[in-house]
Amino acid sequence: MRSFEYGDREIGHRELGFAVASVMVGIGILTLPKQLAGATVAADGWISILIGGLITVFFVYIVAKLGARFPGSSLLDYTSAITYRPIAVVLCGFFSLHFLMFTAYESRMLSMIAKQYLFVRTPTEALNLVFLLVVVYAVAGSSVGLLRLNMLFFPFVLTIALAVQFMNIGFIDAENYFPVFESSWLQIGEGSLHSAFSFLGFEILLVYMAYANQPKKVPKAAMLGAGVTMAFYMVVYLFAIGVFGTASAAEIQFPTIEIAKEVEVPGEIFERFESIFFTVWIMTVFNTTSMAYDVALHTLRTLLPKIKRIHMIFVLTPLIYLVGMIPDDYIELEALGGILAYSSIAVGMFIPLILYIMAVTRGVGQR
Amino acid sequence: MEMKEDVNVIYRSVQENMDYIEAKLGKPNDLILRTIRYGGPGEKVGLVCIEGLSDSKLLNDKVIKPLQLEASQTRRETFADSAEPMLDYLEQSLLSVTEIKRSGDMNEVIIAVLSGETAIFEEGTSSALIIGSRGWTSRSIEEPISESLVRGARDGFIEDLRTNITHLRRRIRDPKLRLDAYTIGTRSKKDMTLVYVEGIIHPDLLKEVKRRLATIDIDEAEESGTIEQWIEDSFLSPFPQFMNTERPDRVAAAILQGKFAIFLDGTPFVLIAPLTFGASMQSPDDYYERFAIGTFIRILRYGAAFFAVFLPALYIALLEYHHGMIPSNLAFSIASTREGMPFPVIVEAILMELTMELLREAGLRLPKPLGQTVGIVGGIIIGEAAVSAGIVSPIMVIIVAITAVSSFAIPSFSMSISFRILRFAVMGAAAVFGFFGIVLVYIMINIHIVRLKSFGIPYSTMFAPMFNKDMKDTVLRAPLTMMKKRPKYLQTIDKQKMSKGRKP
Repeated sequence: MRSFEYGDREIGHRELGFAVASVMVGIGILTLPKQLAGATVAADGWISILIGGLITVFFVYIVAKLGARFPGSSLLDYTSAITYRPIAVVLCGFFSLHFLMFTAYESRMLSMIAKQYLFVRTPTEALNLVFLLVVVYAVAGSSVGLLRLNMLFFPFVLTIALAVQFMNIGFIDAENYFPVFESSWLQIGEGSLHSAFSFLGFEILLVYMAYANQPKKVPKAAMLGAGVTMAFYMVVYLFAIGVFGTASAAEIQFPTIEIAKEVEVPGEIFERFESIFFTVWIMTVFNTTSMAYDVALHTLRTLLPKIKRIHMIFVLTPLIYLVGMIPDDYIELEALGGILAYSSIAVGMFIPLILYIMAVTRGVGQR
Repeated sequence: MEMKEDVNVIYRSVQENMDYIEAKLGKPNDLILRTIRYGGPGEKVGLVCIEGLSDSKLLNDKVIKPLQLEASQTRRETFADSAEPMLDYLEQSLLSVTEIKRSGDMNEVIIAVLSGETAIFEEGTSSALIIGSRGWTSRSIEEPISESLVRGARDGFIEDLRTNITHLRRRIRDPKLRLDAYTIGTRSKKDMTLVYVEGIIHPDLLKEVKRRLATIDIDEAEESGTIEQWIEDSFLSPFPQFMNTERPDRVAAAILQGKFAIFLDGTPFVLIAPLTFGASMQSPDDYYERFAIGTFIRILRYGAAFFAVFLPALYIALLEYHHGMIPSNLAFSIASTREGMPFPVIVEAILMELTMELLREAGLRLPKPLGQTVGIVGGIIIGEAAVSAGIVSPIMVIIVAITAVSSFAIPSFSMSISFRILRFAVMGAAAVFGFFGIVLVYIMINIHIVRLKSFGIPYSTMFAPMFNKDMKDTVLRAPLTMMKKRPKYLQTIDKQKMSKGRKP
């Protein structure tokens, strides 16, 4: 059936807003309070989150605007329209490689944290494999399905996460927030870089904009999504600092999860609440991972239209799995994360900005 | 007599027609062939019907009696100018029956006779009259067994299509109520009716269902389940994509929302589509009770759905992988009850769940009074004995009982079966991967739900794609006066359910 106006290839602006928020919230925020606590004094990290967030919102705007100029055309199409086809091909290749690596990173990171919090003996290899298989099941279907999953999972995860934070309100030590404004601009700057990294992922819009049914409305919705994420990060960060203090927050690997450990569920129905919290968190990491993979597949399909999507999945998934298993521990994996953060800045910020400026000056695409 | 070839025409001779029908049906002993003379020689009509399918009282009083007693020469002559004087006379003047039509097609006549109508042939005329004389004994109207409510209408559908349609007509007196008739089954030739309200239902939806119904090519449609399985979107899905109901009020409410219903003769179960996950968790009495009650019960029901699918799995995961999460006091008491248990938790759980399913199935198959005995024997005796024999732990029995009760609280029986099947998958995942497995299966179920469609409408509709206005009637049930519009996701033509700006 021709789907009765819900078109399986059409995406509403609200879905895209959720997608932007959902793809940002992944692994990054789990370690962000630690990084900020290491970089800045007391609770000054909020300035970093604000700066990083505002930069992000700006680039979300650019990316969405760029896509809105070329409704219905793929990344490859409009990059070739703005520049030249060889450049566009290289860009798209880089783009999909970036997202494939991102998929590998997210799923490996997830399985490592899962091992730490949920299992003692089960090997990471097995956890990573089953997680990737579920991701494969998700991307084997339509993109619209993935975006709808965001709408099912994201509000749920956000509610649980905020509830966990606010249950800690009694443990906050106001002393931890002082002194204020003691960090140097250099420290704030370093913090902003960290927070900007944790916001990345909105580049998915470059691909999904092609399916938006009302492209003009997307920039606002996407910026709203980014704004919600920024506010959420701010809350998480302030609670982590308030509860742990800067010194301990800088030492704890995943302050965002650890904070759930402090929670005392009324009536003590559960102990070790962080396991439940992390279990719920798996959903949002799943969303991030599956959208990253989906975006990579979309872009590769524009480059190699003759290969079927499902065949691509069969070939790429083992590669993703193997690449994900290369790093030995958190430190090596974080090194991969660092590389990804920089390539993400290139893909999500510089390239779209340049493309947008070129598109505007050359007058390519719709206004 | 030799079997003649199939013909479509009606012979001019009454006897020839009767012989043909008799031979075609293989001389059945319930076929009534009656010749009645109303005038001189050659002035006769033949009457064909099937005993038991036709209302013999109606035939005696309104057809045979007038023919024998009142067929008078003078009144007949009024129609002398017409081409088929006798049939015209019968049709327009003599026979006091409501439903009557003319046919020149032998096949049509035979199918009509097989459906309970009566055919009348006239000597020397090549067409026949078909008299609506359907009348057979059917079950009386009873309270729907599978969907009983505390508050709400007590009448339920029965096996007779006409009675069922009457139920609906009595509820909706809108002249725009449409009943499209279909004949289903190349051999069974059953009546099926597609019901909707024109001016509410989205035209594309209607076009699509008509297209799908036209594709049905099957010998016989035993039950509406046959139709459902033929035209559903995905046959691999564990979830039902049609709602089936015995309640006329449910059908009336659904078609006024902009859905359609399919009635099939011979079954009390009527199909309603499109169905969404949210709609399958609703029950008519949510609307009959005041909104706070409706809302509370719906929330309870979502909780029940969660328990029905995940509770045993959570227990397995907690005991096998995450004992640290159980508060110490509880952990001790669980450990003490599990002391000396021969099986791991997963085996225990599967054992008990399977026993539970068996009991339920056995209770269904047995005659009603015995069914309850099975419940008692199974639930109390086996449970008690299994615990004291040390095969299962008492907590496991509690878990299984809560799970079973939760699955009974789901208003739709088909949905409840889906949950029961999924439960075993989740239990397996929990046994292998603990919480990680449970959440992955949960994600997979969700992936499936967002992809599934019922007549083009995503199964996850109301949650995603989200329609803010429709959230009033999902998990929550807003006060009646606040639900001024029909569900937006159905994209009805007439959007308004109440007049704007009126207050009681």
